[in-house]
Amino acid sequence: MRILVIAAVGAFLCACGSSSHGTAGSGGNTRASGGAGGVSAGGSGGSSQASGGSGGSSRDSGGTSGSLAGSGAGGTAGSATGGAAGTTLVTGTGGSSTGGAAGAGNGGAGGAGNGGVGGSAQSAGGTASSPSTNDPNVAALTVDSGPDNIGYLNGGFVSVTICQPGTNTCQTIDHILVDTGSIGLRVLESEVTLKLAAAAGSAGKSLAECSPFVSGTSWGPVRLADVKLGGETAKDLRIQLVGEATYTLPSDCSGTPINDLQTLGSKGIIGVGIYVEDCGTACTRQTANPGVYYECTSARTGGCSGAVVQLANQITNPIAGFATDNNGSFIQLPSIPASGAASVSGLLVFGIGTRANNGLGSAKVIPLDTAGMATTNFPTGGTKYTSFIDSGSNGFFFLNSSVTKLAACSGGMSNFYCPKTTTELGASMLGKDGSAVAVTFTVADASKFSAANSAFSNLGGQMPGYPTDPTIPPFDWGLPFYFGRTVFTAVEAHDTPAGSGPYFAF
Amino acid sequence: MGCVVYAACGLGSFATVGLLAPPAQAALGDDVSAVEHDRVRMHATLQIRRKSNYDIHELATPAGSAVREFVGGSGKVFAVSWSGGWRPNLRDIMGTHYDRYIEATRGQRRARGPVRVELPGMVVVMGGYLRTFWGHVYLTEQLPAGFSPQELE
Repeated sequence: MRILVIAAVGAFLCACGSSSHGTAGSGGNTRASGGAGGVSAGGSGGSSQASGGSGGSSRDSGGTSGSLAGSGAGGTAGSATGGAAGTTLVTGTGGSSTGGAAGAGNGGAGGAGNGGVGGSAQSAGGTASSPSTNDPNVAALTVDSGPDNIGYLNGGFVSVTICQPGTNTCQTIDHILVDTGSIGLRVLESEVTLKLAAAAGSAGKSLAECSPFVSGTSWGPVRLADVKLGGETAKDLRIQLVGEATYTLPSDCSGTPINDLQTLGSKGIIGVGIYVEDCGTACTRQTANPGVYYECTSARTGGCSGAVVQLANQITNPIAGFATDNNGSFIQLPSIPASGAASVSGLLVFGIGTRANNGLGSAKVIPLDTAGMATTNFPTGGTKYTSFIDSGSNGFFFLNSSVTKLAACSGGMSNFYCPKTTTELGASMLGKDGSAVAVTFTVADASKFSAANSAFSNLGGQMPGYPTDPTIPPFDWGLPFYFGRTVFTAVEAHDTPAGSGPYFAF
Repeated sequence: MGCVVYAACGLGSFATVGLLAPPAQAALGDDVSAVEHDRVRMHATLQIRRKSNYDIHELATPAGSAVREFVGGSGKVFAVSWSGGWRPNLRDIMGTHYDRYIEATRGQRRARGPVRVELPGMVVVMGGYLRTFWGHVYLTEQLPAGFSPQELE
């Protein structure tokens, strides 16, 4: 393990007042969150400034691959100044039903952004409004250093409340990673004090799951819970408790275990991607069974074996489980300075075009193939590549140095890019009508990132295995893609104003 | 890219093979005679593509995944790649090398994103998204003469 400690510098966060209808933005709400204050951005408007705190940083590359971890403490103060020209979203300010919402403070000390002069956002329907955490279909999303300042880099977290179904016996768990690249809620078993009923398998057995993630595997029982996010509830949802306490990890559940806080880096993952169930039809057929689901006897050890599980009994996307606003969601994060931010406040908003605050506005729909993949041309108008949008990936992972002409970092960080000068790049994604949807993005020298910061909109890396293995999608648009954008995720087989999901839009 | 090379160069030939199941499984470093075990276990169909200095045994599973086992002149599997709906059992894929891979990666917190892990004599690459997984592993000391990892298809 290689540890890099980088001197801490202050964080600077731009913020914007809300700005729909071209009127003056309203002041943000002060919210407490760890780290320095950040603000959701929409149109243009006010700005706020926050000074970040200090902290060491470690980059854990395991000697091999691209893990990048910081452990900086969050900042301490946030001050806001209104009226200044605010951050401009990359996607522009037009058609905004997606305007910024709330200013944010921190640790009780943060200032709220005074609304500046509103931008020129125009709402398509004339009735659109900016989402805020006062709305029932909105949950606060924070990019910070993770639980216990564990040093997570570019992780977007929400708090999730789980309840015994049909009761008010609940528990709220913070720092659940929002992941548009997976499906279903998974919470560390060690964090859950609430007793939750087991999801039944066949013949009196209970379900468990061996869930493959990119770099590891999460194991644990399937449980039933009412899941509350913001003001919405998914009743009787099947979720996974991640851990080896209930059932011993079976030997045929392969992969590097990510079953605790240290390896997961968060208290859980909430998968809000394009599918309804996490596995789908593959897990419903004996011969095609990928070995994801298990059923277990009550014995802790040795009582689990592979199981076929029908769709209705699989772990389910919480969004699809809501009574309303269940056709998708979007994530909204403000632009952040090139130097990064200690903490950034954004929103996870439920529903697409189901309310005044969640319209598509001017967002362009990006259709997906049967594997959930979009098409990216790089550079703009250039070579066509298979690509995906994934809030759970912590960087832009794309191509390799010889194609991008971006220098790779040295040593254990060689999967990341370390260009001498911060480089703006252009790409385009294939839109619904065959048009090219422009994407500009920036890659900076990852070795120079401030240890005080947890959010970087310019963290990039090479796609491991490219071009060795042509089955590997060369473009992973990770969380940095979300800064300064409003990115919609439409759930399969659910109608939206732009047609049925699945799709992404931004 | 490898696929382009294969298609353009016309080196590959295809044959569909059906055999009785041998007892052992084929994994990295194992003998080719055990590939059939994998085919049966995965309920897969098998195609063999013959190259000038190695063969590719490609297993296609009903779940839509493909596992490709690369077999050198010695009859040993020197590389395995996978792609499709789900990740195959890595223990089956890596065989005797699985434990050291797990030991090398256990307990480390990795930022989320695709990974490349280099161990002595072995390279592992894997990634995934929703219901799509990909990756490959190869033994650097056992690559056939003239073989480039870029030929991993």
